[in-house]
Amino acid sequence: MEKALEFKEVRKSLGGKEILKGITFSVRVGDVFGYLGPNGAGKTTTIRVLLDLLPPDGGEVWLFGRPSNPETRRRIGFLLENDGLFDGLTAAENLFLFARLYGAPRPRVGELLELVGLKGKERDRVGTFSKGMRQRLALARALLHDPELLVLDEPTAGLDPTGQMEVRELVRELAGSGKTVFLSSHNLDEVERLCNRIALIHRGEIRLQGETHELMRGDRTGYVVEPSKPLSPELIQGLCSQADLGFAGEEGGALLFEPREGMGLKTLVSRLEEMGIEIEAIRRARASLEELYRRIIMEEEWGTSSQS
Amino acid sequence: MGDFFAIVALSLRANLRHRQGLIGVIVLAISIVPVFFAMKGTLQELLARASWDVVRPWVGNALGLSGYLVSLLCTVFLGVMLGVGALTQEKAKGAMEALLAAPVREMALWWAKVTACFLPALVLGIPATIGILWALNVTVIVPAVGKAFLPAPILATVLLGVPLLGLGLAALVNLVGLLVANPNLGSLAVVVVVIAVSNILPRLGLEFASWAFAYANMAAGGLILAGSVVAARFFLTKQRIILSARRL
Repeated sequence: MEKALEFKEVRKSLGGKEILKGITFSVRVGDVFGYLGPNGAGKTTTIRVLLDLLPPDGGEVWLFGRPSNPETRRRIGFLLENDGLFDGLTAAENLFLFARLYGAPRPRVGELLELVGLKGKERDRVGTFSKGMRQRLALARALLHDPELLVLDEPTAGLDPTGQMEVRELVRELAGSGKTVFLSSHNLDEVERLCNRIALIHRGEIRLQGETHELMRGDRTGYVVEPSKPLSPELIQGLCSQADLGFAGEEGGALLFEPREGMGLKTLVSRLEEMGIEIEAIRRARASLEELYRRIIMEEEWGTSSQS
Repeated sequence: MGDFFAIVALSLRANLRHRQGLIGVIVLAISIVPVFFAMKGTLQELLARASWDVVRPWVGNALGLSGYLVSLLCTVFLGVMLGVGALTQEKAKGAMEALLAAPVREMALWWAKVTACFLPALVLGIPATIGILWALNVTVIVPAVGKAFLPAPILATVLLGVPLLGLGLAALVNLVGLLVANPNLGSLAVVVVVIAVSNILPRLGLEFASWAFAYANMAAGGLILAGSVVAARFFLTKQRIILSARRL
């Protein structure tokens, strides 16, 4: 599948500190790619390198199968962490400026204002806008030249829940229309819901990347069983005593099993029924992105701090 | 050139709407009035003291000083005030980063910012300077001598020398503003340069109405402009502009 974006061993140091330590990842055309990491991990630097705001010290950035150049970068639309709008200008003027820079037709400004729900606000100064309105306007600006790759840096940061939902919905619509989306965020829930592929950056290195569902499934091999009524302490104790069931614990009333090799789903169900446990639902266990994130980031942080 | 013109249009709007720009225009309008009345009194006193042939060089000097002061106030200080406020805000709020992430070259951005500061200052400065020279002629010189008096070196100074100095300083202040965290350092640099220039030139024994004074101003402006261009070629990069922004 054609790649919209590739980072190949990209390195970047700032102020004597190595921010990106040879990162490699790729985003395929049509992906909604989540770029995760804690604050200071190197997410914003990655985006700045991608947008040619910072030159890499080493490695290469490729866009649409070619080394990044002004022409390929024109195929990118971006929404930066600070929306980057001009407060002294009106909503329409902000868009006209970028329409002119990208050579987009003027009528597109009206279309996009309508798309992001800011029709009727075009003559209002951006300085008077709420955070949500600003974010939607910045998203409209990113779409002016109908880019193939959308780079979004924390698009829902600082928004109230309604604003977050609106922006997510817009991103979902854009992804549905075939655009490739590169979404940098530390909102795990957002990434889990929106992205089909993810990469996790920590301390300037990519620690994990791949298909979201595979990463989450690959982490656990067991089953989650939802009993129709809460289990008594005796039953729980009974589960613990049967080692081959691989009872791994209880999470919000659901029971997690990681059975020993050779024990199939049928056997597990019949064994539980024998014990008098009524099953309401059963599904494959799947780690949440939060768990994956916690394991990689938090354990490393903990390990480092305990070593030091 | 598309990026240049687009940013000039944007920055002109932003500068003229920015509070600091408006304050600049008001302060300027107020400060021209005392210059006019002070010079009017001086000229009246000079013309009353001796014959025209005797006081002519002194009148020329006083007229030159009036034109120089107003021209300096409008073309230099207003230009600086117009630019700095908006630039600070744009950097701090990430607007500059968004511009640079679009197809915009650093040099085009810089020249556009310079133009957006300098153009309104020039448009206001030249009529204000010509206006004060005309008003002093109409109210003092013509009634006393019977003819207007406006030596060519004065015109060269206010129409070429000071605007060139203003352009050089607008280039310097915007360059400093783009490269450092506190763009007010640019204004400070301009104030220092203007005080130095306006003190050094008269101390060199140059009369305000002389060609030497006009040339000296042109040379100073040209040197500052050339220095800024060379510095920009070396130091003005997207990385420096972005990393020097102080986030709000």
